[in-house]
Amino acid sequence: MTEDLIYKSDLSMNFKFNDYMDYGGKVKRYSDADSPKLFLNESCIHAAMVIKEILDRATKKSIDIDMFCGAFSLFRESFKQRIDEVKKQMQDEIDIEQKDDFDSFNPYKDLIDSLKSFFSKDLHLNVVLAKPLENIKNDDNYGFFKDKMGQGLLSFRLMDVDLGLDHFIVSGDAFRKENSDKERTATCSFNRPEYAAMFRQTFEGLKSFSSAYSF
Amino acid sequence: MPFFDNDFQLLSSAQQTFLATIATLVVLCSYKNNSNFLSSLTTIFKDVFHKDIKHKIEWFANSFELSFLDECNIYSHSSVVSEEDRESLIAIQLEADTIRNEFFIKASEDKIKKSQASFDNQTKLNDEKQFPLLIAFYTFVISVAVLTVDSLNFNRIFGVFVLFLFDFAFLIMTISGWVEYWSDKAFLLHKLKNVDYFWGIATLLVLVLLLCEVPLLVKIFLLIFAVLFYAAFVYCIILKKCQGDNYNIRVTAKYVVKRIINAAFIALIVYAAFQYDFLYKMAPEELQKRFDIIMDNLSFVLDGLFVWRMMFVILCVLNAFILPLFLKYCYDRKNWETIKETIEQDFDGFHQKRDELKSRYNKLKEKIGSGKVS
Repeated sequence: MTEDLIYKSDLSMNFKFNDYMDYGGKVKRYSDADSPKLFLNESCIHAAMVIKEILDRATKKSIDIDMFCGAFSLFRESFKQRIDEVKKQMQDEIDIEQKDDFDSFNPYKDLIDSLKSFFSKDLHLNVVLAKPLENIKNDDNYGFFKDKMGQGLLSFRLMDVDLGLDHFIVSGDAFRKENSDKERTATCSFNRPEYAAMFRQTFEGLKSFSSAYSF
Repeated sequence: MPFFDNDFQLLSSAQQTFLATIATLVVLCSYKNNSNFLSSLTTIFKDVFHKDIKHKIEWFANSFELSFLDECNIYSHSSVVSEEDRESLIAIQLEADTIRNEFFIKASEDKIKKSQASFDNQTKLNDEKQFPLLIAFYTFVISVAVLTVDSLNFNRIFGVFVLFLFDFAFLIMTISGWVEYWSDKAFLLHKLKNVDYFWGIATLLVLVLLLCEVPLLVKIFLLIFAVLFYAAFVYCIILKKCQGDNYNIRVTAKYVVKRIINAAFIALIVYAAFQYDFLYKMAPEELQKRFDIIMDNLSFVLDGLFVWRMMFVILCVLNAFILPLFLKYCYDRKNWETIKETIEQDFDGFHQKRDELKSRYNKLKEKIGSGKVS
């Protein structure tokens, strides 16, 4: 039975464009309703959608964001390429009436736009990195990141040692916590103060295991 | 002088050159801007220590065995699982995260971080070059004293006596330094009692200046070193004041009185050394003969002075660059065993909560697996 369940797991499923649109709509609904619903994240596009929503909520509510991640990859060029690849794979399945929506579907751009809006309100994104940012200078957004660091809005710390804890992003009562690096799965909610507080506390703890990082 | 003839030569020219080269290298290596030698060494040891910390943290992380969460995660993503069960699975994962993070942060901050912080402080001190510089400075002073004694041919008994004093100071300093590492206290330089060395040696140099008929060049040397040692003494006092470490006027006054007594004591010893001839001649003939025999028997010690010098030079190099880190590392290893035991006790609470969660998860899995899916 276990094997059956794992086999049937949605993790092995290839998402279609409609699935992403539905997911995006669901995320928006949960956020607008301040829903305490715990929901799952199962792909890089899902991640971009949820984090964009967390950024938008933080901007709206004027609250800072704490993030513990690998190498800030979500906002990097490599992530954009991954999304483009996924989009390319979906291209053949797109109906003619979906074409316009599909062409304008750009989760990475939406994410960066939300990040820009977030910083425009002078809010802070505090990041603890598990790994150093390699080749960051080759990124299109390098100048933007550097500029925000200069303004003190974007700050990085690098872990001195690997603690083996799961990555997460937390802002107010909203959070997204990765369950598996391998499967790219995560658990999210926009209104679970008890878990958000736990991740914020963890973030404070992580600070003491990391050093200020700059590029 | 019954036990030293005029041909007595403490060091050969080659030995002097070698010694001076070693001393100069040590001094140069202590300056950040002049050499990367020390920083390279520090980096090597820092890496070793960080690897050790990493090993500890890996052990620590492995102790938080939550492997059932991977399976739980896969179940939670299954389309076969009902929404109700999915929420229960997600709740188990988040609860597990909560207890893991809580224990991890608490235990890590209390225990592991402490040992890392003590290392960071030590590295910081090394980075500031205070401790190695001090030792290198001593080495340099000794080398200069050795060279001066030999090349300028002034009172050999006094020269040998001064060198023995240096050696003694060195030995005491080295031993006290080690004791402090083992007792996990601050570095030598930051302990008030160790400021004594600066005062003592500066005073000794001034006494040499006052009591000894030495050439002008030697006087200049001695004066420079005396001023430097006094400056180091004042600097340390100010440093302690800045750190607010039990500094008050009464303690300082008491301290200065102690130093005056100390200086008087050194003066007495030096004076006695200068009066050796006089004392020797004043002693009964029988005692003079016995003393001659003793000194003859001890001549091998005096012949071995070069070995002594070299041994101390090597010792100070080791002391300055390698032993402090090595001993600290050993101490930390020893300390870690105690910490580990404490953490393992802390784990009991974690393991209890983890087992409860695991049991909840197994029941849920059984329910899902048996087809009782709602």
